[in-house]
Amino acid sequence: MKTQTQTILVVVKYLALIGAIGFSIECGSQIISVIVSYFKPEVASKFYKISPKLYELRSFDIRYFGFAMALTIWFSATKAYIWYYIFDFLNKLSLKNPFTVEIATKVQKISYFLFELWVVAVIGNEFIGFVSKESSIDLVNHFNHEEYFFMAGIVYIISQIFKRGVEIQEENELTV
Amino acid sequence: MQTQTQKILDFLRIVAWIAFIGSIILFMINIATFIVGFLAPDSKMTFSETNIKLSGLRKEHLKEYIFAFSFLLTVAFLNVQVWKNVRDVLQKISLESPFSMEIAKILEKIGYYLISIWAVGFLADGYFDYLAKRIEGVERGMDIDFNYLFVAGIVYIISQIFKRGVELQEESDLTV
Repeated sequence: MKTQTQTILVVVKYLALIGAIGFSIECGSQIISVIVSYFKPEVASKFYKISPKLYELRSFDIRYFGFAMALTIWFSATKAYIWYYIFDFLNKLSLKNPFTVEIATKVQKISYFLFELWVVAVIGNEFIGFVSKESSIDLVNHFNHEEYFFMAGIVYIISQIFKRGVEIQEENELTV
Repeated sequence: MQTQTQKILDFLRIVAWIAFIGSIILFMINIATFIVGFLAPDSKMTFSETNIKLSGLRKEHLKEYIFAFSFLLTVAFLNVQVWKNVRDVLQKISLESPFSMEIAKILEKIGYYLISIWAVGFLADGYFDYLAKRIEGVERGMDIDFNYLFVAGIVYIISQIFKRGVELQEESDLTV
């Protein structure tokens, strides 16, 4: 018999896949937009998930634009990767015993990725703050970042609980 | 001998306590801001940024003021709940068997709280946007989008994995 948790895990697996695809599209659109912008800047600003403000920045200074775009793409690429990672992880989960060091390490890795997102977002925000001052183009809230630090912390805590659990389990097995 | 994970967990326990107390203080500040603003609309007391944003509402739009604050208070309250549960889970992990249904349930609860923070934030965001259109001097919302849901979802997924692990363990205990 399937338990409720099993059903939820299957649903969640496909949601993770949708998330991965969604963020890949976002990332792909941003990359294409940068490429197109070299030929036709006015078309490029109409792409999906592109802030038209970024193209104001392009006409202001192309180096700033390049850097802001690089960060934006990196940001969405990491998000896409996290979701692919989770999908992959859930795909392989149908093991007999989920409490292994391997899985604990994977959960921990997710928290590192989230932390990375936070770092990128902070750098991005600082940079945009600087650019806004210089060029008076308002790009505030381009990177939302508070939530990533918070979530990275919670996921990290859970991963440590996982790890500790695995350790205790291994100790118990040794003593028996 | 203490393993590295144990040391990290000890440290995280303190962090969770600090975050818990911090979130309570934040909640209190929000309540205090609300009450002070309610009773003495002319006072220039500024506890937090939200006060400045909303103080303009108090005089002419009392209903909206209460409504807007109730969103903020709910989010702050849910934050307290999240950290309370994180603290609980870290306190209970020092038991013999960490993979118990109890812990899995608490983790699941954290996931639900995070998702409800997103839901409330999303509603509040829409409400602020609506206010900003109708009333002058109100800033637009906090731009909470689906990203937050996605990150909150990660915690939920991990909690489900944990739960499934506990179920598997219980099953194998029964068959032995």
